[in-house]
Amino acid sequence: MDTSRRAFVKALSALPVEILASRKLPSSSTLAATRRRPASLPEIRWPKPIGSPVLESIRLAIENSRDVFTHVDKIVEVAAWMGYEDLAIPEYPVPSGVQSTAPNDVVDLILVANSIDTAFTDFKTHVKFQVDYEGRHTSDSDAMFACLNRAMHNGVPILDGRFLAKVTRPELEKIFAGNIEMPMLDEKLEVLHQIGSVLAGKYEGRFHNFIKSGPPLLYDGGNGLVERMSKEFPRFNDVSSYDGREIKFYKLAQLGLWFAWATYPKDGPVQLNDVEKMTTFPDYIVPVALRLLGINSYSPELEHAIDTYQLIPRDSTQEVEIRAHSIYATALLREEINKIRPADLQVIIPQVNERLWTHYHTTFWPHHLTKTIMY
Amino acid sequence: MLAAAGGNPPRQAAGANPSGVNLGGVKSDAPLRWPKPIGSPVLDSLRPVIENSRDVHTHVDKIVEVAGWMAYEELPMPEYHLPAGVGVNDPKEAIDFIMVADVIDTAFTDFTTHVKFTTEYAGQHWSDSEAEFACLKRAMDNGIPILDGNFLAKVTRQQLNEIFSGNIEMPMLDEKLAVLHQVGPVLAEKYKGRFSNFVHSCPPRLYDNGKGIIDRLVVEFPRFNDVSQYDGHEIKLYKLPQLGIWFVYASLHPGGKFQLEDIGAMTAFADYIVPVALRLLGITSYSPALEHAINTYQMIPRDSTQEVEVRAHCIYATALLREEVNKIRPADKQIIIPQIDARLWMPYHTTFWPHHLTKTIMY
Repeated sequence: MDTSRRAFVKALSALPVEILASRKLPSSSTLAATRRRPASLPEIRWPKPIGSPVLESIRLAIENSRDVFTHVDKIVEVAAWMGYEDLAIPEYPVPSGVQSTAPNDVVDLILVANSIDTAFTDFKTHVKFQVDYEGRHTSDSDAMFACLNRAMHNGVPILDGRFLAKVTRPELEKIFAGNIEMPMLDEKLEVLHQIGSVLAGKYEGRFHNFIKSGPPLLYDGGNGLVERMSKEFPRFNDVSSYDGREIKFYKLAQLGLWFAWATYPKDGPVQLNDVEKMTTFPDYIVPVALRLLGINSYSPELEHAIDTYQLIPRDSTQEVEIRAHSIYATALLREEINKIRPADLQVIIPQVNERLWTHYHTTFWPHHLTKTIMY
Repeated sequence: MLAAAGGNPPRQAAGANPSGVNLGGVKSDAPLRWPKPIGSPVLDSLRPVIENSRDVHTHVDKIVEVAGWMAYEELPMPEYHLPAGVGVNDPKEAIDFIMVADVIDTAFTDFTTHVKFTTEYAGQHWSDSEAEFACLKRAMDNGIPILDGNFLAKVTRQQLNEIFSGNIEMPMLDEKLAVLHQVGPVLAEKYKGRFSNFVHSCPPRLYDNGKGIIDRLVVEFPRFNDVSQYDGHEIKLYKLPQLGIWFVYASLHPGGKFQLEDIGAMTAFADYIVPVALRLLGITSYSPALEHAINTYQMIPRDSTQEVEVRAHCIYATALLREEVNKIRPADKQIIIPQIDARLWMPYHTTFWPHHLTKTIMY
């Protein structure tokens, strides 16, 4: 989660609402109310199946949305210029400062870090977690990686589930010593206890053993890596209920595997023979990108709630719709982009996700605020 | 530089001409919106082109629309990287390296075969201007005084061919040789062979009534005098002199090693790629004749009205886009035009959309 915007937020929150309202975009919330889909309209356009249970599960939320809307005409318009961009698969460097560059260790580090990749900004003070280590000033998830590297350097076995299962709050405080107490430290502690116990009990303490113990697939009738992560480690079971039906997001399960795969795409420890089944990783930032590009619009109520930094409760219909439309809209955007590109430059959805995220992860436009361990 | 000269068939993309309107030859009665002055003789010189364009048109409404989402991006000052070891604790060497590379920063793609120049250095594969950098660094490693005007003044074609050994002969090798023979003697005679001595003999300004760095670059080194005639007016584009000094600034200013009092006077660097970005975003549109010429890889002659219009609108439209972006951003996040230039150049410099083809040493 990137939250550098919140320093600006803090200053802004003193401004009258009229000023915030004047920051509305063309084709924004004023249109949203009128664009709500009457039941009589023809079927919504659905992306071609990519074999993703996530994409398949969100249809209900798209069809019945109250507060979030996707504008397919805008997707076509944006694809007509974004389709000509590079959109390369990102080359993730081995996390900076990692003490061991053995691929198994690096993958373990990525997956341990990914499991606690939740808010790095204090929800009350809006101060961002920051650390100076080895001459570098880091913040957000970079700062978390710096802390984990520092711990490894100091001989703390943070890649080992047997340690993580029993790590104490004071030990974790020390590992994450920075400008402020690590935000959501208690939640992160609980997550580490959970994944540590599972890793220790079944996988000799290490994530790469978990990876090796199944087929190199995201989905495989229950045996795929995403399926197993969400089943064996409840913290990855990123699902919500919407009108009585289960909506799947699997943000961190997908992101961790994507990150590990893309770090060693050729022959690393994480091979994914069905990587094209990845969806967007629905977080705080991609919805902002879609909203700013006019691909999504919000009801006046939701727009106002976000602009005034109200918490959007976890599992509320608003939160579910924001995330579901991220997945839906990026799937369609990828289809439109691929219509334009030659065969050898076709993209998969995480490349579109990456494109939207990198351009906006430091934006000063407000994103929705939800307190959760799922993103 | 010529990033991707083609090989792809001409395309008609959905929304490729978003306005859908042929404005060729049609003059609007609406008054032309002109950017607020930034102290740039380049921007000031363009007006006759923008007001009388036949083949290129800028759509201000689209600029406002694009700014509505682009303004919320980070739009950082770009970070440029010199080859490892160049200019470390030696800002003068960094200036020398950047400016020598800049004077020969012209097409790296063969105009006939469309093959891109690539080379191997330090175990890595490099292409385009990065390959040029790698070749210059490799020459330095081999003890060739490539940063010294005394050497450049007399470098032979064969020597240059060896310096730029790669997959193909360096495109426009003869033109690059001629440029070095022009630049080298000036450096040798007046600046002890070094661009850094030239730069440090100037006040810390781009423009200063003829004494600024850009003012003097275009006079003392004619290869930098990137101007064209349009309906009898002199139009200044100054792509490479601005880009070279911007590169120096971006490399050295963050470490406090280089100051410019009027950095805000920089315009976009009118090249092959930024026009593509503006065209795809719908900010500019072309007459059907020009559109067809570009899509079928016809040469657009240097100094033709079409070429001048493509480049002038690139500078004009980015100046307006920067104004609109700044209207939206808070005071501590205001930007200058080169940040827009970098934002447009980066995602599109490898694009498969065709760009205009012009054979010139000016970009």
